[in-house]
Formats: sequence, C-alpha cells, structure tokens
Amino acid sequence: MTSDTQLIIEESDLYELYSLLADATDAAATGVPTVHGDGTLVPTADGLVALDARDGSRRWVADVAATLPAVADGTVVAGREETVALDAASGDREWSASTRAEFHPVVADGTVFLGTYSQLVGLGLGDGRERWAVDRGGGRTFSAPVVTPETVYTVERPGEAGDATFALDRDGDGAPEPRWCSYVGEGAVTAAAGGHAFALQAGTTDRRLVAFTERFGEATWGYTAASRSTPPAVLDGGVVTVTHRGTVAAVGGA
Amino acid sequence: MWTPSDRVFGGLTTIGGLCTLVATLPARWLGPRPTDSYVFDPPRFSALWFERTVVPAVAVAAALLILAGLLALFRRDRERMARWQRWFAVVAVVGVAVGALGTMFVVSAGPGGVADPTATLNVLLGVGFGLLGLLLALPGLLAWGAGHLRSGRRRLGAALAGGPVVTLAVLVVNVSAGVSFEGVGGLPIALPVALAVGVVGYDLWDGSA
Repeated sequence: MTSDTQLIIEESDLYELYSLLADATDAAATGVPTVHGDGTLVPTADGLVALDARDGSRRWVADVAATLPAVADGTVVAGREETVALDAASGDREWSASTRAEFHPVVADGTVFLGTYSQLVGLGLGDGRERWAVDRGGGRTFSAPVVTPETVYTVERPGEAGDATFALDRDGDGAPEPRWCSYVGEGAVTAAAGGHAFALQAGTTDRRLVAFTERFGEATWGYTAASRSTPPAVLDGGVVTVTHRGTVAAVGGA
Repeated sequence: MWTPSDRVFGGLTTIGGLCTLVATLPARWLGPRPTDSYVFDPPRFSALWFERTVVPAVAVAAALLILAGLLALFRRDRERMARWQRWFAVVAVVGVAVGALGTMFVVSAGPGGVADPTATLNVLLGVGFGLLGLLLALPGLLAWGAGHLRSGRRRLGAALAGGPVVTLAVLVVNVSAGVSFEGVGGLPIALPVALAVGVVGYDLWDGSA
C-alpha cells in the first residue's frame, strides 16, 4: 500500500461491505478488499471479485488468487503463485509474470513492487517486464514494500538472523539503492508519511510501533500498546493504530 | 639519489602528530551521527562520512608518518647512541611498524567491521598486530628516550619516553578507575602521543642533534 492510499473503514461500513459481498457471491473473502474509484475489489475463494460500491452488484470476477490487490492507472495487480495484471474496468487479463510475491504487490509511478523470496523486484506496470531487482544474496525474503516518492521501505528476512528494516533510494527507473537498515525484530514497515516510516516491532508479549526518519533511519519515537496492535494508518498527519483489545491510539497529527 | 633531509622528515612527522589528533576527533563534534540504523552511503562532509572515509585514511597516514619520523630519527642519531640504546630503538621502530601494519588491517575491514569472514580475520589480525606492536614499541621507546635523557637531550628524551608513559597512564585511569572520556572520544589518549610526535618532528626540523 502506498503512503497516500491508506484506507480507514468505519465498522458499520465494514459490515455493509461484507453484506454486499454476501449478496454478490457465496464465496468467502480470502484477503483484504481494495477500494478503487466507485468500485471495490475483493479477493475471494472464487477469485478476485469487482463490486460496484453503490449497490454491491458484481462487475466481473477473475480467476486470480490474491491477498490484497493493488490498483493504479486503470490496472489491477494481484497474485500469489504468479503476478497478474487485469483491466480494472473489464477484468480482462493484460499480462502475467512468473515472479511470485511473498506478500501483496504494491504499485507506484508505473512500477509494480514485489517482495519475493530472494529479491525485491520492480516490474513495468504496462507490460509486466522486470525492470530491476535488488538481490542481497543468501535467499533473503523481502516483505511487501511501502513506497514513497523518494524511498522504498521493506523488511529483509534472512532466516538465519533477525529481520532488518531497509530504506532504499528510488533512482528513476533503476534499481533502488540501500540508504539505511535497522534491526526491528520480527516486524514490518507498514506505513510512511511526513518524512517518517512506521514499523511494527514484535516483542515477546507486545508490539511496539516505531517511527524511523526517512533520511538516516533514526528512531525518533516508539509506542508500546498493552496488547498487540494492528498496522497503523496515517491520518491528518498523525498515526492511528488499534490494539486487539479495541483501544484506538492516535499519535501526533491534527 | 635524492634523500629527503631531516627537515622534510621533521615536517612530515609533525603532520603525523596532527593526523593522530584528527583521527581521534569525536565524529559527533562534526554534526549529528545516526546510531539507530546503519547508513550505507552517508552524505559528504557529514559526521558519518568523516568517520567512515576520513578517519581510516588519516589513521593510516598518521601511523606511516610517525614510522617515517622514527626511522629518520634513528638514521640521524644511530652513530651517537650507545649499543643498548640502538637495539631498543630498533625494537621501538619495529614495534611502530607492526602497529602501522595492524592499523592497515583494521582499516581494510571497512565500516562493516565484522560483517564477513575476511573482514573479521582482518580485524583480528589488526588487533593482534596492534598488541604485538605495543609490546615492542613501549619498552623500546622508554629505553630509547631514557638514553637521550641520560645524555642530556631532555626534550627528545622526554618526548620518546614520556609520550608512551602518559598515554599508558591515561589508559589505566580510563579502564581501572572508571574515568569516562565520553564526549571527547579518544583525544585524551591521542593527545600525549600527538604532542610527543610533534616534539620529535620539531627536533628533526630543528636539527639540534
């Protein structure tokens, strides 16, 4: 998810969304829905379903397995075993690539960013061809990236060692270059805004939200919730997170 | 073949003393130094850039210039030194040379330190050579300086013998008495060395032998 496409859904709206989904298809939802224009894309057991947000009618269904589809420039990108691009209006397949994302794809500025088992890969949104790959060797898994105009954030999971948050400089159409890295434990960068990246650090009993500066990766503040918290959303310049016990915490902002 | 004069070596040795000070300047004096993350390519002239790029080069330069100065001092004075003093001077020069080799090994490991096996080996070899160099240079310089003190050349003798002794004393105070040098980096340890090297450089420049 790019930094400017975070979505907060009211609980009542969420019930409505699942009600619409139940009307449109019998298949169970298998991933996180994505809102695009006046439509909603919902990963289900039957495939990726596009719903009209106004009345919940089904526009199209595509035989694509997905967890969290990405939409940009009229193209939907999703996939598990392979990465597939669909026409957002019709659901027609535009291209497919054998690159398998470990997590969900992210689209920004005409590039599809994929965290894979061994590389961070950039595909062209128009043709699905590989533009670049960041390979740090040793079979390191990369998490789904968070992309800002200047930086790509991802978490590298070496397997034999702890995870590390990486900030990579975006260099035009070339491969991003590592700018800084920081040990975060078992966690992930989940959002970025205002010159900061927000990472969830996993502890033994709780999860800590840590803010890193974009330039040098300085940890400027951290927030520890009494219980595990969900990935944060950026809202009005602040960071909002919800604990599993239902506490909503907002840090900074308006 | 042109052989550099003692004045040239004197100047180079003094520069070596200055390099010793520069190499031990706390990087934070030059600006904020990120500590929470590893920065891959720090901006030019930032504190991290100084620490990663300038300090290693200056440290090697300091070690080599100090070695050159001691070699020049030995070449100039060897005919007038007693046999025992000459041998201790040789031991001191060998010790400083081994220490310079150790510095180069540590510097060659790069900013990642012990990130890969080769870097780890280089750091271990560097530390080993450094300790060996210290063991040789310390008694060598003490005796070399004591010889000059006995022969009435107090300034040079005090520099050769006093530099290592004061440095060692500062180290002992730092480690055993728990006196912290936080905020000034390695300057308290480097300052006596730099002063002693400066005096040796001045002695070579002055040609007072």
